[in-house]
Amino acid sequence: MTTPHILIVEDDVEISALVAKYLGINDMRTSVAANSQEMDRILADRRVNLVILDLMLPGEDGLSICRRLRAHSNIPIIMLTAQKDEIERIIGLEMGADDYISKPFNPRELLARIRAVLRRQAENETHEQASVKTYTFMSWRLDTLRRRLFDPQGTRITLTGAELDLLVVFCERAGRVLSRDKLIELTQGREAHSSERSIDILVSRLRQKIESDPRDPELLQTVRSTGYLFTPQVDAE
Amino acid sequence: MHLLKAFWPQRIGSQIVVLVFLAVAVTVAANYAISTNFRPPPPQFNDAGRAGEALLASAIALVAQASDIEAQQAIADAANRVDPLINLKPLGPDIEVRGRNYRSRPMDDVLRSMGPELTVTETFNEASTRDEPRTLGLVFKLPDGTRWQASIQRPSPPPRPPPIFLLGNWLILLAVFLPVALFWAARSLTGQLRTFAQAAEDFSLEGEHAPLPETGPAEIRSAAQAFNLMRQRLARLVEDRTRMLTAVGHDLRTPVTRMRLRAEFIDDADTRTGMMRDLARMDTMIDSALTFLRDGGKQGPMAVIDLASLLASLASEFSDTGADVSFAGPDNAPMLANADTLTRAVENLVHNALKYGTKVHVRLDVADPHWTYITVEDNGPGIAADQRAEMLKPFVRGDMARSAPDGGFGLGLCIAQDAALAHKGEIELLDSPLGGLCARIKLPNTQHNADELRPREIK
Repeated sequence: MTTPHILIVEDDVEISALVAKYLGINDMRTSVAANSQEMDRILADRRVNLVILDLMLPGEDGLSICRRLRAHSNIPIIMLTAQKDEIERIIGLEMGADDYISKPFNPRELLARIRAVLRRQAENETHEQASVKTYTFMSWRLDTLRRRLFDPQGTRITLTGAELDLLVVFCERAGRVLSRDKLIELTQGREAHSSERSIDILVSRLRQKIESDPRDPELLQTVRSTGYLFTPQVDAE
Repeated sequence: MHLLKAFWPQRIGSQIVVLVFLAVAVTVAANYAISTNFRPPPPQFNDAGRAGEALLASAIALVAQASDIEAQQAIADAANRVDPLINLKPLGPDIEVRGRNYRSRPMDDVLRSMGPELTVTETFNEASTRDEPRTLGLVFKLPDGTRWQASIQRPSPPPRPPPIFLLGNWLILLAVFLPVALFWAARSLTGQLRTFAQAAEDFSLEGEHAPLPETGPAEIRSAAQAFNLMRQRLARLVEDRTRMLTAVGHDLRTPVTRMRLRAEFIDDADTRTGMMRDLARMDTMIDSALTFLRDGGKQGPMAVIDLASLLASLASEFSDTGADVSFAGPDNAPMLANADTLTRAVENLVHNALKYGTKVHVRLDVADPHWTYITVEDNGPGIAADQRAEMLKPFVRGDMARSAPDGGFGLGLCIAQDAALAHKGEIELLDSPLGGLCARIKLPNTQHNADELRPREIK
């Protein structure tokens, strides 16, 4: 796509100027708004590809802006949260934000997330799929918002971020054989440089945690020389 | 009952005095009840005696008026027959009565009733032994010179309990009632003191603790009041401090964000890298301080979590970034706990271990039926045994002279200890077979069988 146009909604003038400058030298066009009125004006005026939205704004606050925006638009939104607290993040995701980053952030990480969100949109992931909140399979429950997994007894099983992302991909495409390359692309994007071995390690760890006998997997099966298959019936809501 | 309560004294000293008094009073009453069993009712006794005296007095008067010795003897015999306790008889001229002129009330009454023509020569009051019936009598002369003896025999005195019995009675009763009273007092007193001591021991500024009940004797009440007041003040003080520090921590985030952004535009690579590193350090410090302040307060919700996967994931996340962190443990280990708290605690321990060593081993040990052990071992320099207690305190670092090599406030061990305590466990610092420190979190086992517990995820 052509240079993406990023709208930065942040009331601290210096921060928004610095972010704009940084994104500028990374091949992105930017506009800056200090509150919701300015944001509305810019959105009406020009085509914007992604909005960076600070939660703490004077007047209408970030969460309600997010909900309002999401109500009639699919535009990607990345939240800027003040705290690393889970609650803000979850509420933001429930309101429809696509990703979040907390202050003080590493500008490079912000850049990476912007690119990831834009890429996901470009690869035509429907918004419905992105907004699945829970996947259930064989009485296991995967909460995508809180990023938590619960076994049939209700015990919470902890997964690493990478393991969870992989499990989400398996849930989205249950019943389909997925090659290692495809799995890498789905979890990290086309420009990713991970090796196939990393997928094998992740699958092995997943099996350790969700299979009753990791050496004889039922849920996550290997299909020789092709890839992996997630067998159970998956329900999404 | 309320009336009694109204009169029960307030102070401990007064309560003890009242109790002792009551014990002694009960003893005396009991003693009296036992002793009176041995004495027949006095009035009946007196009546019999009085009747005898009256009869004797009448008999003497009749004898004095009688004409001859036969008549006198007949009167005497008749009187003696009527009341076996009296004895009226003539004395031969050569019978000596060893009178000692005792005065006794019965004989005085008889004496008073005797006419002036009779002369009383002796009175006596005898008994062969202490327990034998006592004889009261007198000797008198008729106008014609004949001597007569009039005596009255007291019935046997009531058997009196031997003195040793009475003393023993007292001692036994006192030995029973007094200790019972004092024991009861001591029990209730120490019971209240124990509650007080327990509350002081349980004292913590975290969580909800019911205030000490302000009941009991006046001294305990005022101590409990003072304690509750102190606790309130302390809680408020800590709350204010925490709030202030948290605000500072938050406010620091904005300038740090700006500086981090500006750092991206510094041309000189060394300056840029240096700034970023410092800013990263600042971010870590702010983060750990805020975490510490926040977690010092409320306790997050507990749920049944799988400790094995929690620790395995933690180790994976570290080893994915290149660190040598391994995990060994069972396949699953459900436990009632707070996942975030434990994760943070073990993360801090592993961070610490990586700061000072190159190899970290995390282990989960569920063999013991009562305890679960989470150990983090490293091959660093370890901590000397005499410094271990000190290191668990907040803001104490290994080498206080220099600033920490990699950021950090010295809060890692403290956060881990807080987490252990929040789960009613503890943390121990030991030597590791790897050569460095072994930090061991010991948690009491809650549920082994997670089937019994199906928590709803707390939203």
